[in-house]
Amino acid sequence: MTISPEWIIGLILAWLLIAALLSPLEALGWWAGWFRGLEDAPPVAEASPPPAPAPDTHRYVAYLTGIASAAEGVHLPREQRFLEALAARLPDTVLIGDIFPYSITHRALTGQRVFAWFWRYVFSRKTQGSPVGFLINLRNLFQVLVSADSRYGPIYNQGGAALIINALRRHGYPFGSGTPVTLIGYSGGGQICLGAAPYLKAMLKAPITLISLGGVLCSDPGITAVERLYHIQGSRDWVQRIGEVVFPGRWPLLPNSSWNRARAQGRIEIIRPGPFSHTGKGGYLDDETRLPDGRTCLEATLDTLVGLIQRCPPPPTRPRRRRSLRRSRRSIRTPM
Amino acid sequence: MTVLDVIVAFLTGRTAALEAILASPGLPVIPLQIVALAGLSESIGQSAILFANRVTPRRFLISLFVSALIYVGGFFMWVFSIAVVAGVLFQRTGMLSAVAGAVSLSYVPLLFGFLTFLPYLGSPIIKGLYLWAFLAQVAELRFALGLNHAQAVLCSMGGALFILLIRATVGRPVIWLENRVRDWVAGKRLELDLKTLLDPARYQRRSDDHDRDRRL
Repeated sequence: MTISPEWIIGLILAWLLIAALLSPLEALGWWAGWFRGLEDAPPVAEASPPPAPAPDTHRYVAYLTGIASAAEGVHLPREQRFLEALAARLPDTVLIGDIFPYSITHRALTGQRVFAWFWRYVFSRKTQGSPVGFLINLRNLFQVLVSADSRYGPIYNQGGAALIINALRRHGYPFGSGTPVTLIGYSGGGQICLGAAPYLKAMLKAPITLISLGGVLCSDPGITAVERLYHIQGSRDWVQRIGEVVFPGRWPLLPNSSWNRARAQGRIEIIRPGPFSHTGKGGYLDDETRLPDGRTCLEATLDTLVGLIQRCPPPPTRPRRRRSLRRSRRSIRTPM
Repeated sequence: MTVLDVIVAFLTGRTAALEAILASPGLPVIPLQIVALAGLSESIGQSAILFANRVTPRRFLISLFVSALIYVGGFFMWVFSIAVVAGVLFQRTGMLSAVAGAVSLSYVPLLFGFLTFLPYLGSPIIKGLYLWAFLAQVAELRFALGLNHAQAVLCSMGGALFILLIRATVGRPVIWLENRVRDWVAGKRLELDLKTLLDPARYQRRSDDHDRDRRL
């Protein structure tokens, strides 16, 4: 018996439809409390006290990986080199790279799942450069769509914020200090960062800055929660343009969308670093291809990122609670 | 003919679907099957409400079936109102079963209502399905009642207006009862507005409450 190409295309389309239909279930089931025993999103106050931060730490940067990721803290070699180089350039910064933003129950695709064996196989093929690995991208892309959906987004994004908060706690973030947090979202991770921003801001009560590295962003209302959004877009990066096309809120035709209002307020800054593509050769993280000025693409990206991170708000010099107390005392005295 | 045959006939654009329904004697079993299936499909598509309200899995399943039953009640309302409008405006009286057959076929597009569950694409898909259902209703009413295009559109839109009128006046207790049944089956008072339920401001308030509790 031979399998015709029509059958194969039909099977792929059926898989895509089923995968897309099932994609909101993890977030919705988590919210509804159907998955007991999995990581929950406890309010910070309920959690155990965080470890003390290093004395020379000035800022916290959380990196949310792109849709090619399958597990937390497991990066493709190019991305791993990027994170190591970024950490080396920011000695006074805690760089958090162990967040898997495409599972709000924080379960790796290759971890405790029914189809973990399947994802392990796909991931192993991906590391060998097989196109089969693109299934992981598709699976994670659906999670980005869940985050961008006006119905599911608020649920998914609260889970995303919980993941980031738990990661900050693991890395000794001083809650209540108002220490600024910078989020770097690569590709689909940009949307997850954007969606999580209002919930993070509510919990941390600290300035949040978002750097989107070729991010596929929708017109998320969460944009109002960030101090500033730096959107890095390479001139050869057609993937980040998907966001401009498929999300109507980003069309110039709709001036009242969250995105366009934020642009009008100067909250969004578009950074055009040069002829970068989204990934692979000539991509933001490519450490082999050289630009006309002699730097590799990775070095140029690092220069841009470090410059932007250093422009982010400085950490407060003293605890925020004292400041607010002093301000409230002053406000009591004034009428007298 | 089975319900599946009727659905396939509708989707392939054959008039056999309506002819089969009109020819079947007795209880309108096939129309009710179509509407119940469409109701179940649309309930699945819009089940985000149940998840957002944190309904338990058992109650979730029961709620889907109860929603499908309520949906069938809505179908009877449609049939009644369109029959009234057709009778008053175009003197098509005594044609209740023909109207029921035509209206039931307009529910066939809503069998794909489960696609509303798709992330991001779901909202435009359901709007497209409603448009398809409206066009199907006009086409089937035209055939079943012997109306021209404009008359069929008037019947359909007049029926919708009639339903709105009833819901805003004498139908209010029924709507109240419907909501109470939904709440009872779900085991809690359902908040139907997702924006209110998942408003980030609520998260802010909860966070502030935690801070206050910690200080106390």
